[in-house]
Amino acid sequence: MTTAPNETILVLEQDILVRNPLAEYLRGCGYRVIEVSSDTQARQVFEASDASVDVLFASASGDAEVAFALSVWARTHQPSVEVILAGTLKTAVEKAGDLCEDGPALTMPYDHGRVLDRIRRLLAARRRSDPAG
Amino acid sequence: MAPEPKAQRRPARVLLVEDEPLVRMLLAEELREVGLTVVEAASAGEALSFLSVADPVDVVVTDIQMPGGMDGLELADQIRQTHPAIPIVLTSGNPPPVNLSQVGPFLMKPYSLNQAVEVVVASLRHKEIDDDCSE
Repeated sequence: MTTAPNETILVLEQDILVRNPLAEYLRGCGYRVIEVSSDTQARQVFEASDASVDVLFASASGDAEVAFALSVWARTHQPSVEVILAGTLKTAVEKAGDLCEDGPALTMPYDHGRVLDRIRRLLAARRRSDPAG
Repeated sequence: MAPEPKAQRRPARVLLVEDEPLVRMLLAEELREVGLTVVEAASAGEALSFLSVADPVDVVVTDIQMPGGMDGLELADQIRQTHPAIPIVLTSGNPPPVNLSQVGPFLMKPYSLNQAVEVVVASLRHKEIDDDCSE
């Protein structure tokens, strides 16, 4: 699989049985993956100087409001971070609006390949717009 | 006749239970560096969920003080009842509230990552010896 050195994905998902296989898959694709189960933990990671996050994967499968609030917060406070909002609820897709700017929110059960494809497209677009990045 | 080779073992799997995401991340990355598979749980509840349905783990590393309904000592008690063969390593920023000699090794925070990896690997070695003896 293609390696992606120095790119970090922050995965917010409350259910360990969903989070763990997705995180392992993304690690297998060469990404550094940080796992969190709450928005509080996610913010702690964002605020840590040694945890430079490139993509936030925020799953709304548990408490959707948490994922929405964190996505809004990231848009405001971490504008360089790409946000992927994902979840099961139709309302989540409707509420997502422009939080997830690259296509519709991903629905569960997560197709790991689709998640990877979304991450790659977002990071490739970012590299094109900011080659020095 | 030559002895049959042993089936190749999968990488040992560590269940790391720690509510501080940065502590968890750093230790998990260090354990992966030495070839271990690490499952990260943010609470005792998550750890029990994983143990109840997922593939077996070879060692559990758990913080004692954690928010929520169950702390690391209670988690260790439950695991010893349901999975008595799994070694448990306990960590805490405070001295242990009880004698932990019957539970497993104890890592006082702040611990060095090297020290933590050594303790985990030593626990796995002991388990491997026990497993081999019981075969």
